[in-house]
Amino acid sequence: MRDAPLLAVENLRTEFPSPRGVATVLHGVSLTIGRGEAVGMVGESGCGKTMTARSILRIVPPPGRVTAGRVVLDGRDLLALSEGEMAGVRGRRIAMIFQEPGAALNPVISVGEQITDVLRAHHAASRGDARTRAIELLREVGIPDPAARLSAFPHQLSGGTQQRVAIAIALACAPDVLIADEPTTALDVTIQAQILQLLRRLTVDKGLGLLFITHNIGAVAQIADRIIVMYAGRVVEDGSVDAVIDTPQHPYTRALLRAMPTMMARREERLLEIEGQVPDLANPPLGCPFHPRCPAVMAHCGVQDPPLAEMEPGRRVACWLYDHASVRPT
Amino acid sequence: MRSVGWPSGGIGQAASLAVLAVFVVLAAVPSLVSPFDPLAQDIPGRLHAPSGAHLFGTDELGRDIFSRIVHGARISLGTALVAVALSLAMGVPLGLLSGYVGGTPDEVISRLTDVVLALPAILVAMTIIAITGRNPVMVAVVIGIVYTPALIRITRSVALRIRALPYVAAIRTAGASTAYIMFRTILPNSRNEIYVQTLLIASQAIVIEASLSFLGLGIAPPAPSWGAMLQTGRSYLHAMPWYGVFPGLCIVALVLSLQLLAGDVRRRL
Amino acid sequence: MDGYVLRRIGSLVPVLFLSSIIVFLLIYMIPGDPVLALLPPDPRPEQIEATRAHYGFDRPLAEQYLRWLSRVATGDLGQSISKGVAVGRLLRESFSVTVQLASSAFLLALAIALPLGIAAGLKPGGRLATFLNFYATMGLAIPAFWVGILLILVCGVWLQWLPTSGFRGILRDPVQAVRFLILPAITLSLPQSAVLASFLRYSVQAVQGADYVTAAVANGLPRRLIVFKVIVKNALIPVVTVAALQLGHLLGGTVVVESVFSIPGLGRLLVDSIAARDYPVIQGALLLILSVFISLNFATDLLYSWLDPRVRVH
Repeated sequence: MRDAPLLAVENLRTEFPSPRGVATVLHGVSLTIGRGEAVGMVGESGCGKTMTARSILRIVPPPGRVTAGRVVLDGRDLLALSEGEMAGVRGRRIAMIFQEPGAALNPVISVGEQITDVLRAHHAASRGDARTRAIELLREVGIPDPAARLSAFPHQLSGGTQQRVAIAIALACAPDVLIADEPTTALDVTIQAQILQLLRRLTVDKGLGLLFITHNIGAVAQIADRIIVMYAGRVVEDGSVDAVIDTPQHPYTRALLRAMPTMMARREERLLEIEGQVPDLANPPLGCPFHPRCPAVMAHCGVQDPPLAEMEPGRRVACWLYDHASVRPT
Repeated sequence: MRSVGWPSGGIGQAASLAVLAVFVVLAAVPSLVSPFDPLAQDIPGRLHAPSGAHLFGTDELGRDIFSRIVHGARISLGTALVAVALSLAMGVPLGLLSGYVGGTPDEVISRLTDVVLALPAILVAMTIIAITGRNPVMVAVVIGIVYTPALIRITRSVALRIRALPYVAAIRTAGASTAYIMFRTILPNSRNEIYVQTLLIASQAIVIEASLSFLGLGIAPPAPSWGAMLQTGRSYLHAMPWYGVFPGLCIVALVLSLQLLAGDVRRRL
Repeated sequence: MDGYVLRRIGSLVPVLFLSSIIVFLLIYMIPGDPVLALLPPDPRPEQIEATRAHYGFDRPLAEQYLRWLSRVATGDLGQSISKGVAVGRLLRESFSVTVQLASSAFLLALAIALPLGIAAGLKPGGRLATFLNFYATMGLAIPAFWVGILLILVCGVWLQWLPTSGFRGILRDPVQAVRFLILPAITLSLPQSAVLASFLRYSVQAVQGADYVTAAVANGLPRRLIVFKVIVKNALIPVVTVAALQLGHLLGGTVVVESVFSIPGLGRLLVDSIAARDYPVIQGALLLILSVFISLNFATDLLYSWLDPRVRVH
């Protein structure tokens, strides 16, 4: 019996009007995140990973909008909340950290003040209490001499420290869910490992739900419990990290893994490029969006889009290769 | 100098060109349009409000204001023309030199232009006039000197940009001389930017000439400079309010059309 | 930060010296004997000789400059040829007038430009943004002295609300001072406010797209805090430089505006002295204007570094 998930996203649909027609960037995305669980979301650029994060927090840049679906946190559908109520959720129940920490921090305010601003926005804390808590937070994310660091400005800090500060800000109000959008992509390789370990430790220690977005499957293998593979605004496969990486089922997942040079189990395989290009989201092909590039394509693939179906408990795939007559679609 | 676009697009451009054309005609053949001699006085008929005979009324010496305004176009546009020509002649070569050759000449020229550009144009003009003395002929020259740095700067930045192109390195190794590169390669490519600047400089030149004349440091009466007319008109606002309105209206119309044209060209760059 | 300030002062001093040299050399640039520049027209030979000896015109140029500089440092800027009083006194009186006019105009320009620019920047397609386009174009095209004349016409002549010329010091008579300052201050502030509002609008628009704004929203910060502490605070930084440039144009604008409204300020003094070829006054006025100008630019640099912590680190 699984615990009830912390966050449940159901059939999320996000659209962007564009000169060539309406681009559907999210095509009915469904996923869950449990308490203390780290979920990795992978896929190529433009597959909808970041857009999923933004849709959950309702910070999709205009003119894009979320047009359908539910985002359930604690029994409440976040998409049905007013903007004011949503502001109370952001930072407080769900927090997010971004790819370039230097760009995500306000350049003209000290890091300490940025933490206390968030604290005092969500709680009625005094300046003194907020300051103490800020020092605690900086210590928790592994920044040495935190009291001295409070008055530092973002540009005075290294990339790794900037990202730690961003994590501290995100954790300030003890949220339930932390979304990390490519948190290590812009950092040095040596620092990447440290930040990843930090995120893992915080997830476990605080019982957070972590949605970890990246195009680096190796990173996912290091710290995630489950993995979600995305393509053209859809979830094409998800399941536990070990299962999916050991035995990928969706042809796209297989291609992704073969294209990654650093996978331990696959070291003897050649690097293979994935031929073709991602589809135009304003005019997608009929049927499965991957079929023009799929090595295992069948006639039916160009006709109907396969639903995401549960093959075994905890394992879902969206592909006509698998016999759907005997399984229940989720 | 910046220009902002309102109204933008076709209507703004067409109207600007039309206005400009009108003033150019007035400047070229004023006698065809003006009903009266701009200098002809008529003391008993002084300071009359606009009427059938005198479209814009009469000034303090009975002269027809409309005729004076028409003849004044030649002063404004003529000054602008001379000022622009002068600043082009001095500014473009210096800018090309500064941008293409670089080194010490560039340092010196850039520093000087930075300093002069930081100062308000009218103060620079007044300082030069303090040295040369008040001289109606010099007004256009002074304004030309004032705006030379603006042209130096824009030409220099284009030269810097083009200098970095592989094409320039190629023809240099083929033996092209510095002068050839400067004038036959870089210059033709900076036509658009220079064109925009000349329009803007022309618009500013008209304002500066009018300001100087208004202050009594430029073109003096009885010449029908719009700025000088405004100075006199200021004193007669109680008796003849229109005296102070019409010359200013013409300045605005001309300046606005030049700036809109410049903004339009710049947008299409 | 102290190092930065010291370095800026370090570059300030040579610039001040340079401009003083230029002003000093002014009378040598006019055609003819420089001594005659300091004397009323048609002087007697004894006067010429006396002046020549007094100012040391027979000495080497460098020495003359130093003597002039030391005189300036003690406040002796010579005598006005046309008015017969000490140049220093003329400058003091007129400068205080211009300062009142220029500061009221600048404050007015800020009061208009700040709300207009910020609001137009936050809503790029809105009505305020369209109005700002119109306002900016007009502000740059309409010469200041015509605006002044129109204002005089409407408010002074037709409606008879306000006086059309003259000046009252703010310390002597605050109420009257305001009445005399309103129209000139509005005239002077219009082009500045147009440019400032325009720049501020573009700056706000640029900042709005920044990652740190999205991050602030993602953190759930209240809208007012985001607008002021995140957007505006970052957007103001480049605008400060523009504001400094505008101060220079403001100084230039006072020349014309003081003439339109017959205000006895520094600009008016300069105009009159040029017309009268009163070189001691011309030199004194130019020296003062240049010094103020340079000091203002310097102050802006300091302000910029205070606003943007990234600049301080060097």
